[in-house]
Amino acid sequence: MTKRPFEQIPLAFGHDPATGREDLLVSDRLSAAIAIVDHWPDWPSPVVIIAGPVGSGKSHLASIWKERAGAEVIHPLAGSDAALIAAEKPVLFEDADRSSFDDTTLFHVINNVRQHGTGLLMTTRLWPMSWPVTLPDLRSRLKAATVVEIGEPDDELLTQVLIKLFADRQLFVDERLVGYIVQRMERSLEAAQTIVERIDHLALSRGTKLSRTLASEVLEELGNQRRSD
Amino acid sequence: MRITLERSNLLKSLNHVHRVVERRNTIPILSNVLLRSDGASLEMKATDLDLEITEATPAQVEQSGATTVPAHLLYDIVRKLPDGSEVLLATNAEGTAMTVASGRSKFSLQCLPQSDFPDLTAGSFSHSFRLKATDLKMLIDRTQFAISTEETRYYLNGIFMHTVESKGELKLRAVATDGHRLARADVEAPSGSEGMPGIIIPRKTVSELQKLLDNPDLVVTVEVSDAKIRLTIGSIVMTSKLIDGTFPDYQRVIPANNDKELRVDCQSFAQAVDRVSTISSERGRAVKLALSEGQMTLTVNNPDSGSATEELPVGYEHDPLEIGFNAKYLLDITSQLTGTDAIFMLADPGSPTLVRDLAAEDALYVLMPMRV
Repeated sequence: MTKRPFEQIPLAFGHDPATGREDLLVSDRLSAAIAIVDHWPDWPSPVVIIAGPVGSGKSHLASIWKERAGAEVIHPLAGSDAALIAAEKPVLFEDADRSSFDDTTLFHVINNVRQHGTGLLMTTRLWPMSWPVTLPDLRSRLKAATVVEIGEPDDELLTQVLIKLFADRQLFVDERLVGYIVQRMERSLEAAQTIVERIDHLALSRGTKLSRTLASEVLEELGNQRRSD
Repeated sequence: MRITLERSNLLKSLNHVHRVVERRNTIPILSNVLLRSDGASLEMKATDLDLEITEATPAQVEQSGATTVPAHLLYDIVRKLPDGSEVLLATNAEGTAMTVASGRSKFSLQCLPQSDFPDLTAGSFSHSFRLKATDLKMLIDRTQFAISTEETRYYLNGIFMHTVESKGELKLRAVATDGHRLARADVEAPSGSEGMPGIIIPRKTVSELQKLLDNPDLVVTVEVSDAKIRLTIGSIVMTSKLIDGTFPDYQRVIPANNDKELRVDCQSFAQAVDRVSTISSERGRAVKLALSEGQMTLTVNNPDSGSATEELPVGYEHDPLEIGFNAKYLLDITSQLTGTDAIFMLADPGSPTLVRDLAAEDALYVLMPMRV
């Protein structure tokens, strides 16, 4: 990227991503996870883990399920009341692989969920076998959970995701521009988020339209970053 | 239709309505102004399908009727007629042409049928309130400069108007931003505005409205719904569509904890910014402000032409700080300030700066820096 001598820093307004069931992008990669959410409370087992890469829609699915099941968010840390809540109502534990948790507390949460028939949904980037669990009983409980995987995205999903990410920012982009990005981007939903964020930032900073030139500049910049990592 | 009216009345009303008409139109009727005479007045209406202005003016009506003629053409003709003259407007029997006659001048304009003229159906309004023209003008004057002109972010192409509780009082608030700076102004919320939907008034409507608010004694009736706004200013009725978008959560970009206060004399500061920025290029209008105790050094470096520096005594009693801003934005904001001194509340070179007008507590400005 050609560094401009002076760069206007834009105001950081942020945006609210659309997280309703009707906003969910349906693709084959997501169908198993969507079925799990849509079929609540008829789950194959009371503990379900949705595993998928960054930006694959885990939190979106979890938020739909939370609404539908009237679930409460828990953080199973030592001394928390997570197990008590799990005895009373369905519970949601997000980003299980990245949030620290106490083995014994999570073990009690799962026991209470099974005993009282409430339900536990966890989201994670890594499969539960890779979690740093030392308590053998918890390991066996996690093995017994239903794990639903969200796969890597195909072109169609990437296209839909880019359009949604732009639309979340009230930016309505030409389909040809989205096609141009999809053809050249890294095949991941995380990359889609980074690209949209960067294009939005640069366009706002420079006060310009979303153009192919801008997209190409961002793709090149991110490509260079990857190569230097 | 056959009517006679004073040139000054006709010109004044045409001046208000004809500006709505775009110079280039693909739909011919949109180039025209609708003239409708009835009783003792002539009503003029112009629209671009998003904004409609109607104004009535006294006329001697020999024969009532309605027609449409090219708006800019009629305005130009009336403008060139001698001051103090009377103007006769008369359509022919077929309704295909209208004569404009005054003194020895006579023009014939082609007409389009009034039945083809579009009507911007207002629908019903959920809220209605009366606001002093001076208050409405203040809200516009303080914020208009920050409206975005970049069409991609259509939701920033207007002024966001809504009611908000501030310091225990309900305020009617106007906010505009282009993503680089933000302007906010408040007036006491008039009765009837409570609970009104937050609306985004388009740039063109704001600009036309501002020109109609020159009489400080007027009171404006404002009616709003989710999709439209109608403003009645004396004999003028302005109806406009609103921008169908969500205005960003502006509160989160207004810094609350900036602790470095800078006090400048507005005029000297603006003049210094203007002087040093003479040397800057069109593409990069950055001016660097280096602050140290009691002093500001303004610097512009343009690799193509040279550099400029100016020193200015200021009220500043914190650690030294260097921060860059777009010179045009600094000038835009200082031109809004009415007091002699302005207060800049700074945090660091990458964070929003808050600007307050000591003479107008109800307005504030946020300015994002440039990396220099």
